[in-house]
Amino acid sequence: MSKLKDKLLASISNTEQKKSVADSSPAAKTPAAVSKSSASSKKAVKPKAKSSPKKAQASKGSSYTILHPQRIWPD
Amino acid sequence: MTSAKIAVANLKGGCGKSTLAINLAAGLATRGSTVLLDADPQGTAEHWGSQEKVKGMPRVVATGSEVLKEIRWAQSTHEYVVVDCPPTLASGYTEVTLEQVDILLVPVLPSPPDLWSSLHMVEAVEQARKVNPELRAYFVRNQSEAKSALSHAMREALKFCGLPLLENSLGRRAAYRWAALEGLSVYHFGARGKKAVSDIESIIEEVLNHE
Repeated sequence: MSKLKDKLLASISNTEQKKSVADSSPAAKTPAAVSKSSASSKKAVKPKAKSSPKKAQASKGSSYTILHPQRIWPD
Repeated sequence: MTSAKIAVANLKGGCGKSTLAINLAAGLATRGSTVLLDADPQGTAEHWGSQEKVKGMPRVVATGSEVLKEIRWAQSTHEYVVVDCPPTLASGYTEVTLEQVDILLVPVLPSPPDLWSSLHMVEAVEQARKVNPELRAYFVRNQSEAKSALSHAMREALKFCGLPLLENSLGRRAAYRWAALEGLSVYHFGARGKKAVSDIESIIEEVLNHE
């Protein structure tokens, strides 16, 4: 019984800790910080999309093979 | 005029706010003139009140956005006022209510998610006490089961959660649901509502006599 109670209380403090971490994170402090953070995350994503032509081709090729096998082995 | 203004609130939906508010109002109606104000846009209490009436049932009034106005009207015309609050702070209705009432009851189901959500009410009470320092707030266990280990553990855990816990609780009883289906409170449900009435009576006595 006591263990179950302790587990419940521990689950509360976990929730509160997560909340306080979220509240104190720089991104959560101001709306400006949030939008700045979101803008920088967009920038961070952009170069990923611009992968090297070789890689892009390879990836295109592999998805083409998977999605359209009939183009490679026509009836 | 009023002897007591009691709000029933929790930010968690489905924890038994309307069930407690309805039956609490029915119990208070046996003591004096009582009105149940439905401040929840879902309108559960209002719907219950719109069903077939039997003698002794409390009046139910939907507040709409006029929560403050209706509370002021109710306290000048009735001995007991019960307010069924919405499960959110976004509308501002719960805050307004907590600034006006004497007593707040926060029903909590015996489940961890309900326990976590109920903690938000502690912050809401702290805010309300800046305007209404006399506000007395309590957790009330709903659907408690005598043989359930989790119910027992919840009872012990709630003692450490920032609001006092009422000794009495609402048991897990079908009578509440069956009575609602017929537009009745458990007070008007004959022998089938007897144990539920005993639960509500114990809560009323504890709340009204607790200082």
